[in-house]
Amino acid sequence: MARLLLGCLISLILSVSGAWAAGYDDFASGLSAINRGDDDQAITFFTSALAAGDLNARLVPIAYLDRGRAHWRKGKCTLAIADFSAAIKARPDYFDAYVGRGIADRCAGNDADAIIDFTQAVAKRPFADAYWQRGLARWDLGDLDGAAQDFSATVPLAPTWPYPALWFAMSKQRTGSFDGRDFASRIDGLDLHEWPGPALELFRGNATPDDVYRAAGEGDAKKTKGQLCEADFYVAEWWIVQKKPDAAKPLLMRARDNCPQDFTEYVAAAVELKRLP
Amino acid sequence: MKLPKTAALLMLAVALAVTDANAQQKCQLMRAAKLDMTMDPGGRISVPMTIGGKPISLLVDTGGYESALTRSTVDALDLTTKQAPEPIAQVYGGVIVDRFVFTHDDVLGGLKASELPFIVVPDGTGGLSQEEGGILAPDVLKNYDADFDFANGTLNFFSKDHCEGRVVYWTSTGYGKVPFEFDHDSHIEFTVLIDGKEVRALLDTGARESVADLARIETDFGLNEKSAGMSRLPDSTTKEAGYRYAFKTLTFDAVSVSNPDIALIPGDQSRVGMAVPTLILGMNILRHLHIYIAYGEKMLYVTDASAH
Repeated sequence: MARLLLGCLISLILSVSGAWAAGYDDFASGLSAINRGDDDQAITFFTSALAAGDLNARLVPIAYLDRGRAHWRKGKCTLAIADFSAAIKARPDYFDAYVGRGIADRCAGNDADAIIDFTQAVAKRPFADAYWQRGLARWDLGDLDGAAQDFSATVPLAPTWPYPALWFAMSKQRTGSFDGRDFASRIDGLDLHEWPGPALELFRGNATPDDVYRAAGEGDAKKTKGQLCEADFYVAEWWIVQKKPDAAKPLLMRARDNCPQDFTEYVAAAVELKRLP
Repeated sequence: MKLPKTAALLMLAVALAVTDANAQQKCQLMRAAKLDMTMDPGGRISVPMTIGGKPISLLVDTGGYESALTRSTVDALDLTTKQAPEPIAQVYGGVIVDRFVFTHDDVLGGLKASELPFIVVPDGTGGLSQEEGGILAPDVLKNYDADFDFANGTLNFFSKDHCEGRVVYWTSTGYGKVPFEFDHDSHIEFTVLIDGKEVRALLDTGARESVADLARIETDFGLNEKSAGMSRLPDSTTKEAGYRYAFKTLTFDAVSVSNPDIALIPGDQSRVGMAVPTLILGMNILRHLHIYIAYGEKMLYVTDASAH
């Protein structure tokens, strides 16, 4: 019994001892919340952690970054930009914060600012994500040559990830500069039978829109929902390449209405609809 | 195929010699290195290292197998890889790892090595972020005591040569003391209490989340998918559903973490099965603690992360 009581006493002491550093405890809980997808709780915990004033200086930029991610996932683009900016202020070489702010810039419709942030990120570390995101921002602004250059830079940095290759093919087709032989040499590592391989084959001239929709419909319900919305977008882009915008428009509207908001294709469909006559 | 481990470790033991060779008082902890942790957006920790004078960041992974560099890091450092006579490992996605490198002029905090072996893995292996150039695994970590001070963002390495039990330098308020055993890959296995029941756990700083085997938790705790407090994971498929269960406490000797967040996953997806511990204890729980891994004693010393 004495031992049991002593154990209880120690537990009590240890729980109390944590109270002085509320900032870290909230920070740790915030990380757990964002990892399990609970953005509201993450925002609450990180806000408390930052307000406590005793959070280790090395953890402060992470708290801002992750609160920014949570705001972005909730569609609060301006709040996300403010948090990513605070993270950069606290840690000026923070690659993830530049990429995060660039993504939030795009979400707020500020593609020119996004390009500046992604360019800063590339200058710090020439990683795939920064090139990929800058390519998307350039695509949004109608700079299809610039976008193709960035997607081209992304492909060798992420050789098993098919989307940069798909967007490279799409951008080159849109500018009339697609070279099938050059392209084939860039996609050696990709499995074109797996989604979105059939969409990629569409832009190479090796598949039809029906093939794309057939492939998009394979898999469980959750998977096919995402794939079908992507199919709408990519087939619409293919129709634009074929100079048939009227065929593209309803598909783009469907992609905009059905794609989850954190899908690249959701944002791109909305941008493309504004561009179409 | 394994790397020539014995030789490599001998090299480490010699090359990463404790800087203060004159320290005479054995009971005094001798800090060999103090490293600033950085965290990826999901909260896993990395530490800086230089190889040939060039800085890289390595994920600290007590659940890893061999220390590794990513392919792009190897390219950036202009290292020459060697072909292993047989496959070394298979990583997620089924990629066979069969190449390795020897790095030179390695500096980890205050520790220096003239040569270290690393396996070469694809970029992104094990969820490595783009900033992380590789993995620091138990083959390196276990040469020192490793002191994870998450609240202060610091990883300390101490000499293993100290008096038994004399390691908790950061607080005088009390601590938990948990003996552990190594598995065949030098992973740390030990027993914790979840809601008062003993569960074998593996300490894995390379895991963002804590994961337990669904079937074994269901059996040991008398739970099923309809139990109160059981909620289905959002990414579950109908065929192989995963869950979370609202446990109350996870206890390491005298130290407890309240409301531990543990994903319960079918065994074939969870990396835990009959042959290994029920629970992979990941960073979502570990970061609430200050953990000193006394590799020499095979003992964990644990307090609340904020204890001082």
